[in-house]
Parts: sequence; structure tokens; C-alpha cells
Amino acid sequence: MLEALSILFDPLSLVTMIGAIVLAIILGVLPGVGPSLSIALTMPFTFFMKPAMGLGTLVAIYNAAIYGGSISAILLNVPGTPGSAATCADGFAMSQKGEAGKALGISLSSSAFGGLLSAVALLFFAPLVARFSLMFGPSEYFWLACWGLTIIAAVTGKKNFIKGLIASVIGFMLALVGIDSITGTARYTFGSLHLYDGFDMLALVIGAFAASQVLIMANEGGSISKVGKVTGKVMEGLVVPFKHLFTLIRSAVIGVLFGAIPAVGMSAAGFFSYSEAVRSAKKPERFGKGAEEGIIAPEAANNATVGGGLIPALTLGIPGTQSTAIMLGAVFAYGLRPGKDIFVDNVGVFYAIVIALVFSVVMIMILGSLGANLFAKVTVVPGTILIPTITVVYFIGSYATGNKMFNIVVAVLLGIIGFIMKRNGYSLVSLLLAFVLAPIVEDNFVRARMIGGKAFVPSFLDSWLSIALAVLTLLSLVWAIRREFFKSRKAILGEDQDKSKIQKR
Amino acid sequence: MDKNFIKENILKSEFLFPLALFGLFIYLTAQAPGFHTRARVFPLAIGSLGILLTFLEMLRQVIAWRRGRADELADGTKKPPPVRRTFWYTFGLTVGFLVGVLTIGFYIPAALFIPATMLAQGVRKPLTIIITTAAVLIVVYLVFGLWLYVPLLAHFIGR
Repeated sequence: MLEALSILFDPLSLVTMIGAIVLAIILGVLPGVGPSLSIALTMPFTFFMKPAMGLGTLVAIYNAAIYGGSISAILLNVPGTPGSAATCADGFAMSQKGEAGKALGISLSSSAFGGLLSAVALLFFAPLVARFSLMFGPSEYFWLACWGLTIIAAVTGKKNFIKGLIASVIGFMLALVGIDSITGTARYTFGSLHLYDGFDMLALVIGAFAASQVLIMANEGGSISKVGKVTGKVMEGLVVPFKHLFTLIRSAVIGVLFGAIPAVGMSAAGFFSYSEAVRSAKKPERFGKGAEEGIIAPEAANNATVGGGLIPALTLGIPGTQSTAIMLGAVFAYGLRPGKDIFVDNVGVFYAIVIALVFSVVMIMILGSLGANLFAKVTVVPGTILIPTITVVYFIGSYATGNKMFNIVVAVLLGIIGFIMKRNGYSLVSLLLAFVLAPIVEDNFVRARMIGGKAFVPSFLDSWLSIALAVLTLLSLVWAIRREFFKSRKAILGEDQDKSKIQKR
Repeated sequence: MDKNFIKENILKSEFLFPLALFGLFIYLTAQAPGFHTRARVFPLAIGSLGILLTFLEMLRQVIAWRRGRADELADGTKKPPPVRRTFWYTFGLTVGFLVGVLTIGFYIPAALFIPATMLAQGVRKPLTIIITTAAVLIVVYLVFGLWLYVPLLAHFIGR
């Protein structure tokens, strides 16, 4: 531990690390760059450093880039990373209310908490979480994603229930486009090579949120902040997540676990924790209109995937996320091996990674607090300047996700569809939730059937974990329907009582 | 159904959008039987669900119009504000920008798109237009072009 501290807190190392964190936050803000590309871009420079310092710097970059993604999501409705896609709905709604500073503060402390909890998990619970991540087979993945899908009812509410389901069907159908990963069948590609890989997640998110928002701004005029000024302050927002402590902790735990489960990723973690926040809220109808928990949940979760993703990568050599796969490449490039080599023979490297993660959290807090009030001023810039600027940024952002011109076409088309959907009360969150979870549902449904045969029980209820997840899915579905039914009855009864009072008067 | 009813209700996005989706879902579901046995389950199931839901939404919309108020959608929420001229200008310019980017690369269409959009939004100060255009293009070139080396120039303008 002391050896790691002496390497990381050497003055030159400190300056390097702080510079890397600043750079990573900027890269995270830029749509289409994200943590994976940030790590890949800076990795060659770290090869001149000692392994402890190099890997520590990469972890700090990873964590800071994820935080950076929330800044553009909150201010411009353009998510910098797929993990911050779920932040757009409520973060941008707060910016529209003039509370951009507060929203940035909420995102800052939630991200910091998520990163910190994931560092604790990495330090103390690595073997336990690694064992948990190995318990996931096709049936468990299937039920986990189904559990996530049951939240669509809560996200949309009773009034828009059919529209919410239609939006999720659109999301599901969009996810079906491309080569089926199990059978290799080309579905809905219409002979176009562009469609063979399916739609890019970030291009869709940019289109649904940013491009549609530009069209709305062009129609309604004015700046992002509808009140014409920034009222909420960062300091005010920093304490908010601790008023929703349960949501904060639960979201961070979801982030750690989703980060550790291979091939789930931070966008699913963000949406899943968001949906859990909606499910547990007393007034779920606040979500999408600037609910504080709508920022806390995805931001705590996406930063918590950092430590979570590193657990199976460093213990078993199985990367939980795309970024940890690149990190794992760096581990091998330093001549280290996951497992005993890091945890016993080179334990200093392991401690350096954990300390760097904690250090990045501290730096994010400092840098974010210093810059957020200034960043928030973007929301009062006139729409006449923002409309062309955001359009140019989202064009580049969607292109840069895979250097594909086709992604710009997708973003513009989704922008038009998103504009129509928003105007007519269709939930874009439901569309994206279904798009993120659909491949997990379908692939694992087919895999489970291939392993277990046609019978339902051996295919889908083959372990205590899959049974538990299936029960949770069922309970969640029943609870959502019951709550909506109960709520509507109460509302009708309330209306009737109000009417009778008026008549008596 | 009288002509006014069709004009005021049917030809509105709240009806046309589910109608378009209804047609699309029928088409997509009809394609599904041609896929591999294991690859057709979800397209069939989800597509059929889409057909059912969009039909229900259209039905709900028609019933709501028959009973309801003209300023409300079927779900009881207020109708959105009408589409203004500035929207159509921005929409047209965005499509033009897209076509430009796809054919001659990024910078020249962007240099035309930014001032044109600002003019369409009502900005009349030449200095504001010039500074905004220059600032956006310089930042994009420095960050994405020089630093991240994103190949924004395409096709015959070069890479």
C-alpha cells in the first residue's frame, strides 16, 4: 500500500494524473468519444510509466470520462457516453427549469459516490463479486433483462401506457435490425451493408435526445433554460443525493454488479438503476420532468461500473465492460496476469489501481465543483446560437462513435421520429430501455432454449438465481399493474369526491 | 366521416404516427417467417404486439375525438403548440446539411449551415453570425480534426 502511495503521490505523477483526469473529463463531454476511446487514446503514453502508475492513470481516466459524459447530457441533452443516456431525461429537464447548476451538482456527488463505492467493492469484495458474476448464465441474463423491461409500465404511467408500450416495441424492433448473433440471419437489413451491424446505441441516443431537442428548440424558440437564467447552484445539488440515500446506495450497488457481469455494460446499468428509482418512487410521474433521483440513479450506477468491471477483469481475466477489456489489454502489455500475479505477487499494482480510483473521485469533485457553475451558463445562451452548434456537435458525435457516415443519417432520422414522439406523448426512455435490453433478452432466450431444450423449467429456471430473478420479474409486473390500477381508482374516487363537494356548495 | 373530421383529426400527427407504425409493423412482421426458425420468434412476437398496440392507439384516438375536446390528445394531455415556420427552416437546413456532409464532407456544408440556420432563426447581426461560425468550426477542427484525428473531410474533398 505504502509503495503504491509513494509511486502515485510523487509530484510528477500527481501532475500527470491531474492532467489526465482533466483531459478525460473533456473527452467524456464530447459525444462519441467515451471512456473506451479515452483509455485507448491515452494508453500508449502510459507505457512509459511504471505499471502501478500507468494502470492507475488509466483507471482515473476511465472514471473521469464517465463523469464527463453527464455534463453534456444535462446541459445539451447530448449524452457524452452511453452510460449517461438515462441522465438526459431528468438532467436536461432540470436545465430547462433553470436548475442546470443544481443538476450538475447532483451528478457530481452521485458519480463520486458511485466511483467510491466501486473502489470499496474492488478492495474488499473482489472475490465475492467475481464469484457472483460467474453465476450468470443465459437464463439469469434473460430474467434480469425481463425484470428491467417490466419497468416500462412505471416509466410511462397509466395515461400513456399504450404509447409507452408502442415506444418500447419501436425500441425492440430497432434492436432486431442486423445480423442475429446466434443464427447469423440477416434481419431487416434490406440488402444494406450499413444495417448488418445494427444500429449504434450512441447514434440512436443522440438522435432521440439531441436531434429531437434541436427541432423542438427551433419550434419553440428561446434558450434551453425556459426561465432565462440559472437559479440552482452546484453546492445545492451536491447534498441532494444524500437526501435520497437509499436510491444512491442501491444505484451504486447495481452499477458494481452490472459492471461485474460480463456483456451487460454501463448503459444497461444506467437504465436499470433509473428504472429501479422510478419503481420505488412515491410519485413516479415526476420522472422525465426533472426528478432529482432521475440523475442520482444513472450517475451513481455508471461510475460504479468502473470498479465493478475491474473485479472480474483483475481476478479472472474476464472483462465486464468494453473499457475494462482495453484495460485488461494494458495489464497484459505490462507483462502482468490477472489473478495471483496482481493480487499476491504485485499487490502494489492492485493498491495503486484502487488509490487512483479514489483519487480520481476526489479530483472529479474538485474540478467539477469549480467548473459546474460556469458550464451551467450554456443553458442561457440563446437558442439561435445553440441550434446550429448542437447540430454540428451531434453530427460529429454520431459520426465519431464508429467513424460511420450512416450514424449521422440514423441520428437525423431518430431526431425527426423523436420530435414527433415527444410532441405526442410517447416515452423516449421506454424506447431506449427496450433497445438496450432487447439483445440481452433475445440472445439469452435462444441460448437458454438451446441448452435446456424445449421444456420451460430446464431452460429458464435452471438455478436458484434464475428462479429468484423470475420471481422478482413476476412480482415487479404484478406490483406495477396493481399500483397503476390502484392509483387510477384512487384518482377516480378523488375526482368524484371533489365533484360532490362542489355540488354541495 | 365528414371532410372536416378528416382534416382536423385524421391528418394530424397523433393519428398519422400510429397509423404509419401500424403499416410498418405489419410489413416487418410479414418479413419474419422468412428468417431462420430461431431468429423469427421475437420479430413475430414483438411485431404482432406492435400491430395490436398501434391499432388500439388509433382506436383510442378516434373515440377520444368523438367525445373529447379539440385541444386534448387521447390521453388527456394538452395538444402541443403548432409547428412554426422556423421549425421547417431548421428541418430543411438540417437535411441539406446531412446531404452536404454525405457528398462533399464536413467543413464546407458546416460553414454554410451555421450562418443559414442563424439567419433562419432571425439573427441579423453579421458579427454574431461570423464569430459563431468561426468559433464552432475552429473548435471542431482543433478538437476532432487535429487532436482526435476524426476524418471529417470525406469523398472528393479529401480525407
